Amino acid sequence: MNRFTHSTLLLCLALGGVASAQTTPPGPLSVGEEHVLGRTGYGHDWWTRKRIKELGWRAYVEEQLFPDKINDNPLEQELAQDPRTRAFRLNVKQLTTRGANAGGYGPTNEFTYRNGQVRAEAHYEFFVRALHSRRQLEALMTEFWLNHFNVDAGGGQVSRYFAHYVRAIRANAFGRFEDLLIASAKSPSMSLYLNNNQSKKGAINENYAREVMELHAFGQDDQQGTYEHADIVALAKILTGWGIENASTTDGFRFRGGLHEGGSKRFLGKDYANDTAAPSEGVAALRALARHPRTSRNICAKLARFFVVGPARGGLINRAHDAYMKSNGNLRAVLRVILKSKEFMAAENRRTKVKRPHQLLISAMRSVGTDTITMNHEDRKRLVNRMVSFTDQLGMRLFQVPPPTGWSDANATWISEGTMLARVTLLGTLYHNGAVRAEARFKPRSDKLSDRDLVQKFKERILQNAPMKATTRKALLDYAAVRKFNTPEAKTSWIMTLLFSSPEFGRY
Amino acid sequence: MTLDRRSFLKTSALAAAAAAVPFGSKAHAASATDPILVTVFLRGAADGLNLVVPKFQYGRYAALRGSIAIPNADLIGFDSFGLHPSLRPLKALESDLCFVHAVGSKHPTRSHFEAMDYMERANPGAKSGTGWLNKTLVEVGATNVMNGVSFGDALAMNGGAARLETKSLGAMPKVEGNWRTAVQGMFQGGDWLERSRLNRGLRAQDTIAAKVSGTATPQFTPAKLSKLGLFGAQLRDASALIKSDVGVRIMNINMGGWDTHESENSRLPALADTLATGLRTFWDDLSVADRNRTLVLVMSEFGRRAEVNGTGGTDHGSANMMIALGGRVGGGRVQANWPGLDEATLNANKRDLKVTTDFRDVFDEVLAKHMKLTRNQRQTILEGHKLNGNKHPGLFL
Repeated sequence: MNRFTHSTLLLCLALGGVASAQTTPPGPLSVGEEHVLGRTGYGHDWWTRKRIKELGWRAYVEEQLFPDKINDNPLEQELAQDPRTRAFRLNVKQLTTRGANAGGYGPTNEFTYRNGQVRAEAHYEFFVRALHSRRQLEALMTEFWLNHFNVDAGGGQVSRYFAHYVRAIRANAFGRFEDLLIASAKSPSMSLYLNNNQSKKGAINENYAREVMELHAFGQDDQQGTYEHADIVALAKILTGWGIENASTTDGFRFRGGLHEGGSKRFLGKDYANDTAAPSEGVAALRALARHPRTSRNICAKLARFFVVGPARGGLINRAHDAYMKSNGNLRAVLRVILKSKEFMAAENRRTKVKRPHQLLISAMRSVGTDTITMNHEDRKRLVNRMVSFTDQLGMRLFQVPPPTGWSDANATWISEGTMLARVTLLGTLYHNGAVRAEARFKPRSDKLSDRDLVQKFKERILQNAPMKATTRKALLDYAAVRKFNTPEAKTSWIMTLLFSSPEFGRY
Repeated sequence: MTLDRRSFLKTSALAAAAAAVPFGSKAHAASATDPILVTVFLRGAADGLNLVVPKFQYGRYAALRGSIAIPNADLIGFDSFGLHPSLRPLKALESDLCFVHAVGSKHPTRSHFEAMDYMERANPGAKSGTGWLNKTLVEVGATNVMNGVSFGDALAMNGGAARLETKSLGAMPKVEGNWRTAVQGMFQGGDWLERSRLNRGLRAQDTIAAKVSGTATPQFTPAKLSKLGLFGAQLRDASALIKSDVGVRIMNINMGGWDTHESENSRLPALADTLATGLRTFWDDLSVADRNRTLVLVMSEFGRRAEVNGTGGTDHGSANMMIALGGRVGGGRVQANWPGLDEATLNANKRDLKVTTDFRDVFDEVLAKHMKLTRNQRQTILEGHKLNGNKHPGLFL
């Protein structure tokens, strides 16, 4: 108990200037506010509840569209000196060379990244940000684009440069799509993953050229007649010479004119004059690809599908497409159209999506205020390892999807016979292992409350004002009545984890 | 082909099995004599031309394949072809093993994702529709969750109720007692996608706990399982499910990693070894009776280019090979209407092995001769395909 009191104190200090609000927690979120926090991030926590109440949902969304303007300092300061995120402070050259300037920890040259180690740091960095960042939409869009431009960070060189890749994606998540596309194309992780680094004059490799068109730009469903095999070959030739220079550059990219395929190339009906001095052909071709209306339609449909699941999405895709074409693919403009649309807030479009495995866990921890910011680094690392293992058991090997498609956004992706059993049991296991902790000031006393009031208290804290079915409430009450609990604390925690296993909590 | 112990056993058991299963019957209750189909999908387009090499056209093969050609002396003779040396574990299964070559789809797509969907729907070009294995489950009268087991996600198995999808049997945590009652109660409140999956998962869990968990799978030693990874765990589960007679009729296992655009010489051997060792272990683990009712069909969405690319790998091509492993398969053969590797016989401009056998004719033969389905049933499954028994590759003698 002492540790918790201490943690809460530190949390208050870390959050800074919120001590008075701390004593008067924000009132329950409306159904709409709860929906907004579920869809634009990883569920509500203390800060986002307070913020959306202060600003109203539209202004909250607008603020989230400019993550750089949100003071995320308690977290940023913590991550900046956390030895578990060292790879995120190193550039490509430093990730390659043995331990050079390893972020001020220990003597230089003492540290070499082994296979998979950067991925472990990426898991850690991702989970901690999703749990605690006030820039929730930025964390979410980083995940979205990492999935869109999927690489398999399972091991090897792709994994070594994955920290650089995450940063490159995050930096462009609210900019123009073409800059995001080019950042991905130039990154060592993508170049290695789809073999573009190996494609060279007279010996091309079509892999990247094919997938960039089919997956990153035009989409799988809507490509008939847009391009032909000859376009794939032409794009592969245009991109020859795009290679990796990992030992001497910070971004890992180098264009080698000597490996560039000569002659003019015809790509999507346009001729690209030979340039062996600079990667201009490739940059122009990728920009043309990004500005193509089919790419806009594909990207807008994918984003609309991600944020809005339910009837009548067609009109929204058209409006997002207009915003994309008018703004040269400005993703902030597209997101603004989608997130402020009537479709996004429509009652019939709420709780239509199944939570992704890590989202299920993170939203549970956020809702009851699990504090990891004030944990020591070792404890936090152990916690993240459990979170990774949980996510894995629910069917998602985060950042390790072998095919370039990434994960499908369909509900059925996360719901199979096997994963359902995991979804309704493992949160309980995690809680009772000590991973999911309610904050000290939110501990309803099961010995002082009727079962009905206890269940209601958790419902209000976790689901806020979102509806809960009578069958769910009855199951919770029956369980509270039938199950023999050893202590009042055990009863409290089992009721809480049962609610985390409910159909209402499993969706957002 | 010499008559070894395995083929002798097979021949005698063949007659018994043929007598036991009435042709064309719709089996409403699964029994220990019902045929079982296990499909293995090699995701990423396995390089069939380096796995099953046309030894009789070796010069032309070597010219096209350059640095990644398998040396002639390393090939394991199989019919008039040669197997990749890492497929050696399959050699001992020769009498139960038949390859089909130059098989694939006439649809021109070279997108992995389109081609997989088309193959799993058994309907090239179709953008919607359920999977062919799911349709087959319907046709064999499957109603129980244990009738179809999908190890991981596969479109082929999607769409029906008679299906258990899980990464492995061990990946299904126990849901028991008051907790189970509570969880089931919560999910009965709406027509959630989650409800049907949960209820089926719980039913499957009960069956597995009662009948499958204790089943011995002695060939899957800790060393083998460690070597084979998830593929091995899934094959072991498949073996246990067959032996424990819980009514399984169709299973699918995915094996990924076959998209060898580069460094094929260093990547293909490990993949081939895992595949061959896995199949060999699975087959050795089954009884003769179970081998005689089981057919393993190995497929991949398309083949790879005949010519090596600039990075010691191969880009997307057309025709591939398929593997049929079964107690009733006419073993020791590679069935192919071989199109040849000469410049004139390769697919124009893209230069890859031509498809001379439609993959749906392989499916049709399996459905007819192994699953014992009628023409009408097969036509329902292979919607849009013109059935023609003369086009069957001849997996079975």
